[in-house]
Amino acid sequence: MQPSGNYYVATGTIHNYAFQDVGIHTNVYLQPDSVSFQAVSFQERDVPAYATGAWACINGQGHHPNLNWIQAGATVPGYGAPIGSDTAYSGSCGGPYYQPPYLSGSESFDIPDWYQISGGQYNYSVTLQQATATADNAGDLMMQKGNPPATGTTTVLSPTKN
Amino acid sequence: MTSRSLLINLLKPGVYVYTIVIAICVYQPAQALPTAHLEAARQAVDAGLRQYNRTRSPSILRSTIYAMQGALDVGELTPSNFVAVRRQLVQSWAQIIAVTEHSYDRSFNPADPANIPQTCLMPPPDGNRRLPSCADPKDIHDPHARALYETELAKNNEVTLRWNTYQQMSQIDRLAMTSLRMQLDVMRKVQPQGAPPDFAALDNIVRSAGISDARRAKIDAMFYAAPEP
Repeated sequence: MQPSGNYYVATGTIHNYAFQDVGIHTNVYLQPDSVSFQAVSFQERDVPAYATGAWACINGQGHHPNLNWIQAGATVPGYGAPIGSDTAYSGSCGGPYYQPPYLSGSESFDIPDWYQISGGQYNYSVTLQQATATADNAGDLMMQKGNPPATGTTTVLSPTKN
Repeated sequence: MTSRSLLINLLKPGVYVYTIVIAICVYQPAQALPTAHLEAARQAVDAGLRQYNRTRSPSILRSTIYAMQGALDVGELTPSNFVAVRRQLVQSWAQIIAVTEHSYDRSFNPADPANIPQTCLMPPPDGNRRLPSCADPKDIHDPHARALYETELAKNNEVTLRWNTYQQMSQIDRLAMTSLRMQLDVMRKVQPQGAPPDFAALDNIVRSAGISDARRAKIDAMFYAAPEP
């Protein structure tokens, strides 16, 4: 059975006070959770960002993930096979900004996920719409990754959290 | 006595009985020639472990286990070879398990955040701009921030390699133990009436292979475990 995709579980939110940035720390699991994927390993591939407004300076920036294959661990019921952790973070184009209105905008990476079985005998990919950050004029910020998405929200003037 | 004169003596009718007696005395069921499947698997294990010791490639170890999974053909079992087959089976598995056990750190905790590889790291601030996670270090202007980020990336590579080794080897470990248990269960189901449990000899094989005491206790329990329904 092929993996149906990655399941991201948010473990924390990232933000710097007075900056238009947002991110999430996640634990990542290979699904479905009814299968042992211990012969499977995973990696994300490089793609450029599509970014506008608040994150326009990041548009076209590459996504350079860990290119080591990460081996799936023993399946955890309800989650899937653990394949490491991830940080999805928007970055920021300037600041600090202490009062609204703020620039709205979005930033997204459509990342191809690659899987292989036992040292490369079999490859296939699942493309996942991931790491979509959104910002509005009021200073609300949101980061989502995966489907269903792990989500982190904050505001520009929230305290720093890493 | 030359070999030629020995042959002439053996061909004399009176020596036949003597020869047969010697043959019977020399024959010991536990040292009987293993079955064809088991012998092929034994040779595959010897070759596989030699290759693994040279290459340290987990896939070699996995292939060796697959070879051993085909070692038991119940159609080849007889009352006279049963004990010898079981000993040889345990001997080959013990070799594999001992090598596996010594090939990785079983105290590694995959749930410890320090041991979990990251797909993406967050780069440090670069002046008053911050790059997104997974940024290319070359895109960081501040040399100090770039060096810091590169150090973190290198650490993450090491964490990934340790994680992968643990995951691969622990999987191989479980595969070997499960396969051994299944073959012992099959042998228990088909054992001839009156076959000795042979526990002392089997335990001695496991102990001699250099397997840890905790593991040895688990394997010893398999010798007695009732087959699953």
